[in-house]
Amino acid sequence: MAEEKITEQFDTEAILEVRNLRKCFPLKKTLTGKVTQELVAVDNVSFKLKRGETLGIVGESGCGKTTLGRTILKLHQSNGGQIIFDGQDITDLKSSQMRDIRKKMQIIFQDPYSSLPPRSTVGGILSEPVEVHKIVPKSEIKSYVLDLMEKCGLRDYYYERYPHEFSGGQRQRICIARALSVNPELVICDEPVSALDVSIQAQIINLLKELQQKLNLTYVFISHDLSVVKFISDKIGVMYLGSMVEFGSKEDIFSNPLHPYTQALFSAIPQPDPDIKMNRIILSGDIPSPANPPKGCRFHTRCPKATDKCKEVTPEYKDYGNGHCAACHLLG
Amino acid sequence: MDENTKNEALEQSVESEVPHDKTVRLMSPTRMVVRRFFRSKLSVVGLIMVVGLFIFSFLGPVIYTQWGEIQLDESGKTEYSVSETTYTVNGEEYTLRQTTEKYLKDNFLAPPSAEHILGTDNEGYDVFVRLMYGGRISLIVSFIAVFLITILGVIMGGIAGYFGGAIDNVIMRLCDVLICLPGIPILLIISTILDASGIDAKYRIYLLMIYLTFISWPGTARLVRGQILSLREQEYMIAAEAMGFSTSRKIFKHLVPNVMPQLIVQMSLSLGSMILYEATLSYLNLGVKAPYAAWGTMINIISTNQDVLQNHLNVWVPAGICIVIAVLGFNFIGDGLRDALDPKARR
Amino acid sequence: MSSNYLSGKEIRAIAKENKKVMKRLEAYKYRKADESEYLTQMRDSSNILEIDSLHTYFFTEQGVVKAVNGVSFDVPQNATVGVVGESGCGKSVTSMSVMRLLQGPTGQIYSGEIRFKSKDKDGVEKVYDIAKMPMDDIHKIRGNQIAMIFQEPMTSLNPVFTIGQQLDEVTFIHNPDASKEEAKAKSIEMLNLVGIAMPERVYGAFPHELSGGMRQRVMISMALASNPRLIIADEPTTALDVTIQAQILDLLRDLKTKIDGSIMLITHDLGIIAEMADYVVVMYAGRVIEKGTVEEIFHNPMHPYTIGLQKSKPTLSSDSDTLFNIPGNVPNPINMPNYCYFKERCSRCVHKCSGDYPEMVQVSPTHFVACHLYNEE
Repeated sequence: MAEEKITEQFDTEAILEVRNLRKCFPLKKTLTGKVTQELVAVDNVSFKLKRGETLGIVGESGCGKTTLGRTILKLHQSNGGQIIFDGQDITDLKSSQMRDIRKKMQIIFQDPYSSLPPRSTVGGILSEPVEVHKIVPKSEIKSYVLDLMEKCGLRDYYYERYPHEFSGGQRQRICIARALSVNPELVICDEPVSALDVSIQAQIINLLKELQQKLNLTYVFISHDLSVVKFISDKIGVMYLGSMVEFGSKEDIFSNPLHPYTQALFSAIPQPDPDIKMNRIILSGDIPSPANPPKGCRFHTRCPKATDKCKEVTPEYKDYGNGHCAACHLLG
Repeated sequence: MDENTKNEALEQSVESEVPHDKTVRLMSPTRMVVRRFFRSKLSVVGLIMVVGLFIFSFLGPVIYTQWGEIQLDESGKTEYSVSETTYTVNGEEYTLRQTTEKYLKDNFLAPPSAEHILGTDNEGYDVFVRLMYGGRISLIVSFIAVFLITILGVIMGGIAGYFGGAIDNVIMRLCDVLICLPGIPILLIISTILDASGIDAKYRIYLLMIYLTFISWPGTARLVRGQILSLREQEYMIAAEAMGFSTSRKIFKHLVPNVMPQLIVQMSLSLGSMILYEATLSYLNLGVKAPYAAWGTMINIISTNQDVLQNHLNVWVPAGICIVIAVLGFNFIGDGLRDALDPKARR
Repeated sequence: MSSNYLSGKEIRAIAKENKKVMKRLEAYKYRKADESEYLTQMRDSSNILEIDSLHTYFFTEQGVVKAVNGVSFDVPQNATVGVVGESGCGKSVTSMSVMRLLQGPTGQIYSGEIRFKSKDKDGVEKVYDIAKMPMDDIHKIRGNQIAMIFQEPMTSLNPVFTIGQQLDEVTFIHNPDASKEEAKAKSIEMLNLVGIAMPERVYGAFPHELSGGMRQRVMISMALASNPRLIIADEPTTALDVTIQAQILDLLRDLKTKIDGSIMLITHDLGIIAEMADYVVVMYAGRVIEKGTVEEIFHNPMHPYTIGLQKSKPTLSSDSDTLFNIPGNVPNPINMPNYCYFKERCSRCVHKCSGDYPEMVQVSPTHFVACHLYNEE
């Protein structure tokens, strides 16, 4: 698959297309370096994302959502499949070739404490990428950065301050400003609000939405919190143990969840209303280890509707109309 | 919980519209470290001890020029010895008392006086002046050694930590081998070789310290490697990668500054141990050799001269005190720096 | 804020002052005392726990952090009381105060009463004031009448002992005469109770062999082993995935009916509160700002903070375009001014808000709110 040279034209409407992406991490190696056991963190994931859209990726811990985000950015080298960004296949680019593309795709992390270098000022953190990528002439860097800080809700006198003086929400704003400093087209948000308090979460989510409209950004929004994902996304992908079990527009996924896992995930979220007593689907058992996933459909160990077929055959990931894809035998 | 609450306390509401917000004094991490360092009494004591020693050994000989390092006090000394012989002549005893007056060229083992502040040693050198020169050699030698150890350690540890894989493996195994080498026996052998090759006594200590550097860098290399391994996983390093920064920028602008705090602590602590090493070598007569002065050689006098050990404390005790001050001082500074750089590690 | 950068002189002054207070409180904590000294009476006999104007302070280098600053609420028998608030609001410190688990000498209960109705083996009920109990007598209550479930199931179990050893230990502490077989039988029974499928296998397993959800179940079974009258669950599901969280919440709800006790549930998630709690206490910056039944809090929230908190959480059912957001951050708990702590972030601020901290206003027999907007005078 990797050998054949693909010369076809890529969909120009899509800013990001991922085809059958696969990423493995070696677990055990022999002395000679041959991998004997591996962990398949992302397995056969495909989707298309249009410019200006937000793709929400939901899943529980260990489902490979973070790895997917980093593999798209090529912070991890993929082990198969293709990543097509802006009409260009970037799967096999070397890191020196990637350097120019890097400024078009950026990432925001979960932990606002470890994602800022502790020994630089906010101004230093924000102007470094501008300087390296020569976004604006040297003399204009400061005014450019101050402008950017204002956009992200940071006051101008923060310029000379150090990250340790800020609270989580403020730091996350700095991270957003850093990501936006190189004028990216695609931003991967890796759980950007899950470390923050509820009232601060709302501020950050609103900021992200506002910036998206202003700058026509495309987001891949990774989160375990379905309600946040629902709020910000246009499309949603649900992942379980490394593979995408369901993908579709927000409306389709929420009004008509096809996969039993998606259904269970929806019903598991506690609603802040004492009158809603949902008819809860409580999944039994734990999430299997991704190092040793079950045979057949990976969800069959916990699926309330599993049949014998599910234990043997891996279900096919099919389109059930209108780009609403799912992988389940029960859907026929 | 305690810690959390405190962290919460530290992150104040920067955003809230409090008027004095803007006027708050700015403080860089470095300034905060300096502040915390001077807040601890012990580290200030350490700093005073070390600075005092520096002034004493480097400025001292410039100001106090009465005696030189290898200048003998040739003012002369008279030594009296009395011998008695008893003869029996015709049943009567006669005692012959003979007093010998010996005029010696050198004024050795003189007691402390205005002429010699701490007296002279068994050769006739001024103890006080030799203390200064001994301090010079100790401080210079240990600074050079620590500097070399750090450079070598940072390079090797940095390469191992940043690139990982086979390079890492090779460097770390090399470290393991070097740590296995028995230090003192090999020093003895090298010293014998140096004796045989007739190298100037003044330089042999430097050669020995280079050997010490060679066997001591693995400690620093391991520290740096460990730091880099943990820093590499920090999200700001991944962010730097995502920004498309070059490898050298990542190493020198993002990794190295963050390893510095631990390195500085390690350096100040190993300065103390290098001074001890130097003293040990000189004491064993492997390092600085007579007539040149070193604190170790000055103490070494007592190993051959019982009289000095018992009756002339002024000859060897000051050197011992200097060693204690130097080692304690560097260790206090190291501990103070460690606390100042990582306030959470305290208590 | 200027309190962040103190001069050496100020620091020493603070340290001196703190040392004096800490020494006094520490001495009080470790004194020898007769039971009569801390026996007291409940205000309302249907309550199992009554917290009355509790002040818990941390004496830090920067100054006194009033983590819990006059908190009062009750836990009725057989009820679940949810304590909700953002990080740093003092909800965990409140639970630590009840358990007397504060890290001394910095963390101290400064004043206030924590009345707890305990019942010993013979069924005699006694009311203790936990805040006044000396540390030597705490074992009468802690881990026995009141049990605690922590947030981090990964670190709350000792990694070098098997689950069985750790569970048996609990039995031995409370029943030193039990034989090994009895202890094991009891442990397996407890594991069964919390819905662990193969209790014999888990009994012999080490903590690292279990998943997060399983470990949290084991923690719950340990808390239950002594038949507590009150379980304090401090963010019991925050570290778990949603589907596992649903399992654990289901289990807790189940257990409450089985063990005939009360639960004090501490969380930041309004969804969990709505689902689990009968009564809700909303905390902000070390104070209770609103308390009431779950219906009152969710259908008729009164304090602007409670309202804002509910509106700023995106829900599956809502369809708005932007989220409501409360501007600003949680205030610095050092040197709090004596006006409403929420004043600077409040959109409905009135002139009176610059005055003293608002008193609790009673709106219904069970609903209280601390806000000037509802203060009639």
